[in-house]
Amino acid sequence: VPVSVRASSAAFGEPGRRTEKRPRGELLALTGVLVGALGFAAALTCVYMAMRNLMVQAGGMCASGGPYQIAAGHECSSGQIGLLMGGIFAMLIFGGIYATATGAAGGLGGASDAAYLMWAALFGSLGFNFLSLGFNPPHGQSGAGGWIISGVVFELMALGGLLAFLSSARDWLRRGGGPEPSLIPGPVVRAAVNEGAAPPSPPSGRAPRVGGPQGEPGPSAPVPKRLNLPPHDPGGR
Amino acid sequence: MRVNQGFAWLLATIAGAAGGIFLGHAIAVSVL
Repeated sequence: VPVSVRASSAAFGEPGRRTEKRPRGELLALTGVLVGALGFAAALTCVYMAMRNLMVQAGGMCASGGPYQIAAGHECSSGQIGLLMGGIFAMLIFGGIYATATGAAGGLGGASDAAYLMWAALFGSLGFNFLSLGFNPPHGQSGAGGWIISGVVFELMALGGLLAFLSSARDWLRRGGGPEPSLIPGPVVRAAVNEGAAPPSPPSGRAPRVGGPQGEPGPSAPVPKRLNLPPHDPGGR
Repeated sequence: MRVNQGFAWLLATIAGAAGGIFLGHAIAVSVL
């Protein structure tokens, strides 16, 4: 029985031919977006509050253990360590969930948009801590000018992520919510489909010939053609 | 359809972020 395999454009990732997702998969992806955003925001809030607490209580630096004697008031508390370290790792985990689910849910564009948003949230909120306490330093704290510089740098970094996200959102609105155009403009080579070709013969012990210049002896038995090569043109360039 | 999907993503993001801020605040206040 001749088998006809149609060369589908979707198989080559042609734009505008995205496979329709099932609603159940979309729901799962949106649940992932919700859980990822919730976890990331919770972790970032923990880091934000621990950082602020550390800046107010110990001037922004603390240490514990080791061979050196830690100055009074600069020992790290277990709460600060737990919130900062746990928050950072939780941000990585939930940020990954959020970005992956965003790519699967078909958000504004893909996982990169989620990354822009998380980048802006991270540096924007922590930069606010630096600026807020830099301009209004805690009692007894001197030399908070470094915090202002850090805050400005953090806010500039957050602005970069925010601008990238807004640019992507603007493109998304202009597309009317459609998918991003593919970088590969469709299939370069199309397979010719041999509809109605002769049925394959029993194996004759020879490898089937798929084509070649004219004049060569053909196979002893008809074989199914796999490729339709154009006729050989000696004068062609 | 695609626009609705995008707004659903935005809604899930905002709801998750708002809930996360409350959750994170509660955790941090209880620990610090």
